Amino acid sequence: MSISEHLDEGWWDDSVEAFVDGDLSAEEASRFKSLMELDVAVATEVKMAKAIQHSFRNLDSVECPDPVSDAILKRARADLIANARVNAWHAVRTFFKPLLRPLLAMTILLAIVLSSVWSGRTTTKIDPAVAEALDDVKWTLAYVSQVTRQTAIAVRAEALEPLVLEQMKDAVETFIDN
Amino acid sequence: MKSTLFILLFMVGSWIPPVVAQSGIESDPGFVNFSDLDDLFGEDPIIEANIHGAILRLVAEAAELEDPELADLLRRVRRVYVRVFDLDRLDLDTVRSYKDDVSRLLVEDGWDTVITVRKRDEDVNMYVKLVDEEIAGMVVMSINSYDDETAFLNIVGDIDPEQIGRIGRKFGVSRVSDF
Repeated sequence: MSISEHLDEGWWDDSVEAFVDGDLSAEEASRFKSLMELDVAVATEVKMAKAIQHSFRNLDSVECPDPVSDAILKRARADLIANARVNAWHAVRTFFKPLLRPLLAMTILLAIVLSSVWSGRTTTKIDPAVAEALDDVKWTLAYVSQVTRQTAIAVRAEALEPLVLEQMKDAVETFIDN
Repeated sequence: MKSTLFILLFMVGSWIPPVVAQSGIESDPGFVNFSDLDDLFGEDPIIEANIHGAILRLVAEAAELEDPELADLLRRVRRVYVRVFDLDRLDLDTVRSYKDDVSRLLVEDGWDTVITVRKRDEDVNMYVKLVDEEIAGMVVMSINSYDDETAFLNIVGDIDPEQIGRIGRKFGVSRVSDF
């Protein structure tokens, strides 16, 4: 019984392929070579894989039929557009994600402020008794203002001008004449 | 005749208000008690207001919305009292006598006369009470026989007449009889 029979078939195929393609690390390649020396089946498998690889490389290039290349290109463009959309959405989310919480907090704060302002406006409705008292106060102030103003006008017209200013004017004119 | 004279003197004497009262707003140096007015006229006034305490503070807060200067004035006022009566049901001399009695008591109590006008159809008296060179109260008594109206006002508090004049001009005062 050879060593290769004890190994997992999938792992075995992958390892042979990687060795032939030169994809194994130096340490792995060294261990694989030791395995080849111990087991002829492994060496045979590698030899066969190299032969297949060599034959593939020597094949003439085959031109892809137009319908196939068109279909592939169409699929590629569709994938490209889909990827672009996904990338754009990802970019948007990446950009806005740090701002999301502050924006949400600001919106809530704004709503609270607006609601408090609105409720404040609604609660500033003046009680009818207070409004009536305010009107009384305004009337009183207006009345005092009017009485003072009218009295000042009356004093000027009936006392200040005829009794003081006119007499002063007469005295000055008399003084100038003399 | 003597008994009639005595009754008349008693009635007139009973109308004379105590200038300074006892407690609360009534103990304020700017306060003047016009409570006898209702008895003197024996009828409801055309305009009556006696605003002080909590309602005055509410009025000041309400005024803040439309006129901050008015609110500022009202925060320093402790009472606004107004009585306006129709004159046609009362003898003019009786009202003048009452006004003169109040004027005399105010002057005796240290109130300063600001305005005294006595014309054929209009009497106006305005007094202010000064405490430590600050105005503590104002009284206006007006008898207008041309319009058949008489008004008695008392504003108590740290008031500025110039400010009252300025603010008062903003509010139109309609004829009392139209109020």
